[in-house]
Amino acid sequence: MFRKKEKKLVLLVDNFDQARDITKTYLETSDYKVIAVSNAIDAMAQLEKKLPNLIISEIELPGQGSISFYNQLKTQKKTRFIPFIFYARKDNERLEEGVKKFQDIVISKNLKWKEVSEIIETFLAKRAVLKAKSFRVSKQKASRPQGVQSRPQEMQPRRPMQPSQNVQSPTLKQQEVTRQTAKQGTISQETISKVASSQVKTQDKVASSQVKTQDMVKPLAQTQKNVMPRHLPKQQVATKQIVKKQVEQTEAELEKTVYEPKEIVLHAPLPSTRRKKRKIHMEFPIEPGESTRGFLIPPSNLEAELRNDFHFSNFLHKKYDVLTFEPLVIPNTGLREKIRFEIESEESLSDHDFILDLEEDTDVFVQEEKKSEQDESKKSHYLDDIEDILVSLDDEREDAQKAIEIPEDEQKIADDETLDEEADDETSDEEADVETLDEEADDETSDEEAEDETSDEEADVETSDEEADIETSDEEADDETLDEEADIETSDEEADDETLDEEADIETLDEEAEDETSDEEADIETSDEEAEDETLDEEAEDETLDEEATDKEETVVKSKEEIATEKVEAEIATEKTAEKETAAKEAKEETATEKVEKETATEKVEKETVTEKVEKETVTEKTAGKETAAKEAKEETAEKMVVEKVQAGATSVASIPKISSHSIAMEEEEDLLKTKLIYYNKEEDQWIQEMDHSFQKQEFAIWGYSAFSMASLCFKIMKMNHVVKNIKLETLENQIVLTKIDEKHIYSASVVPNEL
Amino acid sequence: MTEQAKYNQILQELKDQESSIQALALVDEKGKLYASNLPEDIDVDAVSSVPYFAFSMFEKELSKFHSSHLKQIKIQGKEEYILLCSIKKNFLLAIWVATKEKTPQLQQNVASAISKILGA
Repeated sequence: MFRKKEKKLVLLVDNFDQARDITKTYLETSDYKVIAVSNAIDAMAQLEKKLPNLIISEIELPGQGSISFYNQLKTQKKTRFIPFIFYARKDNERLEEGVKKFQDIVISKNLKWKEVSEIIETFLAKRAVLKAKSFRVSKQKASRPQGVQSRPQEMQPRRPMQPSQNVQSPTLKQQEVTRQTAKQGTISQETISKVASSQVKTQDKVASSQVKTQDMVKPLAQTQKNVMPRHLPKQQVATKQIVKKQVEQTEAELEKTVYEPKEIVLHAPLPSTRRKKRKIHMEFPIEPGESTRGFLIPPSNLEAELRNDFHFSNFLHKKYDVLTFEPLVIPNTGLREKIRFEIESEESLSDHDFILDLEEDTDVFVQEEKKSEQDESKKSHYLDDIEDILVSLDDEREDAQKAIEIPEDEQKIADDETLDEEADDETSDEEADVETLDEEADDETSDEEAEDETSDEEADVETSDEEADIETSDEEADDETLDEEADIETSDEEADDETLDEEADIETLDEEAEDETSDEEADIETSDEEAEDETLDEEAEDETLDEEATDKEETVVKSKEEIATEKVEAEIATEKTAEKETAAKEAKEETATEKVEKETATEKVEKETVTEKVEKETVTEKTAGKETAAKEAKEETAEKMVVEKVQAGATSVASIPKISSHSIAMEEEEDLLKTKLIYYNKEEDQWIQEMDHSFQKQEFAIWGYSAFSMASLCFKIMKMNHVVKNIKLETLENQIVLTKIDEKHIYSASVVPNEL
Repeated sequence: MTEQAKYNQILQELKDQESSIQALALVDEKGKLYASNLPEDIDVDAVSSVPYFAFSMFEKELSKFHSSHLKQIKIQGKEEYILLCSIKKNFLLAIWVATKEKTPQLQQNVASAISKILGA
């Protein structure tokens, strides 16, 4: 009959709450009953209540400290033999040496839990053997009668021991212990073999001792009866007491050598010699490029337990060949067809970054993605439609502007023409201005001439006055000539002289008049006057020469007439200049009107161009509107398609039961995406396989895609290697692992409850 | 000592304990960076926002798979990994570690740092 398996009690002492919880859960999964406390005082209190099979303590405990706690335990008889494990962060050789004296050990926290559990199991088995040995020794001691057991053999004859169960009990217990541990299935094969060999040895020894004792039973009994009197002599009693003391001393020495509690003195830790990292098996060994097709799972949890090494990681090591674990593959093409079926870009999904709006559902996310892709596709459509001009919805305006730019060129040309015309006008105006200026200049000159004339007239008037003086002088001269009437020639000469004098006088008078007039005009006047005077003088000379001063009155009249004619001429000239001025004014007015006409003409041209622009814009807007309407119609049809597909998938999902654990498997097969949902049903205690849950597949696909994108984004931020291998999510109930297989096949997921 | 200084000290201690830890960031539920121990060439704003978004997204999506209360995310790369630990739904501790595997010692150090943050 098998005894009911009893869980070993472990007292766990750790001040870090979360670490303590983690270790506790690990121990409980390894079939230990755990009492967890946070400090040494609580631990001592627990020890008062119930003694555990094992104590595991953190090296750094608050308050009392783990070393003093350990020393306290080892000084007490009750707790001395409890196996003790220190859980230390770093390798501490001094501590290991100190603990070794009590057959205890130190475990490093750097080790994986699987290794830790193996160490604990071997340690407990070893201690069980030691306990069995010590128990046998103590029982043997206890079985001997007091005062006789330690007596020297030379002094006392050998007495046969009574055949009793006491001798066999240690080995039986030892066997039982080993059997129990073997039953529990927690001890490794090596430890079991070690224990078994030690059992065989001890059994042999016990058997030989039994034979010996059986041989000696009769004579010892006889000697007991014969030799041992009821009243021993005093000498014998004294020797008996001495021997007893000696035996006690030797026992005490023996005990000291084996289990003497010595305080551990810890010095400063030596420089740590870190162990080389073992090449531990990969927790999730799906490497990039490797399919999960070959991984196998057990048909049921029970069978896995019977195999005694059930663990989720075993799924990944091809240990089971009963049920094939169909895996976990989504090709990119499938994603494109079913989820984002309008994508034509050949960008790999891993390189494609996106920003996820967390407030929106995944469906909305898909639609957004699809819209963005459609925008991209619109761009490509435009390439064919509108004369190789890339136009998106945002770029349409720009294109419209580009379209408008052509009449703008025309407008520019028109503007240039108008500008030229204006320039011509300006030049003509300038010319006109120049002409007017010339005319003005002419007018000025004419004015000047008129002024000159007036001045001349004035000068003439003065000269006429002077001439009148001259006449008077001439008259006087005539009187003189009449009086003398002698020498005509001389008188002529004198007359000439006089006329010359008169001329000289006129010249001086003219000079005075010049001084009175302005500077330049005066020069001109003087020159003109000189010329006129010269002409006048010449005429006068001629007249005088011709008439020979006889008809002086006639000359005066003539001069008067000339002056009058000159005056008339001057008046005419002034009239002419006035006419010219009016003509210039009229010309100016004409140019101004021409300018105004030109401006109005340019305005008209501009207005025409603007109207043309507006017409063109309206035309382009109309065409753009038509195109957008057609695109919107296309988008609506695409959205309807998606909705129909999703709804079709959702109907198939309705029957999915609530499960504690599942793995979703995907692969493409003849353009149809098949999903294999493998899960462990806790109620039925078996693994179940279902097919075709397209909605789950889609949801998972989106999730996986977004998860890897976010993960790669996290890596990018930290400027790390961008390849995300896998993502492990730990919740209170489950552990979900998303694994990236390669660029083509995206990811797989495994969901396993924490219990497993 | 201010609250932020305490958090910074805790993160510094954690980084001193584990040489493999490259960077640390403590982000609150609104994506605000409470404390950090980051290299100089890293965008602080991005560090504060992206891990929080990633964690929220995973938590939201996990609810569809009958799982709740996401405790931890481990994003495994070729030579390094990122650990996002939830601290009572108020804070998120993002740790960038330059080793392949997560050791129990690191796990315990992180756990102790989290308990310190909660106690601070």
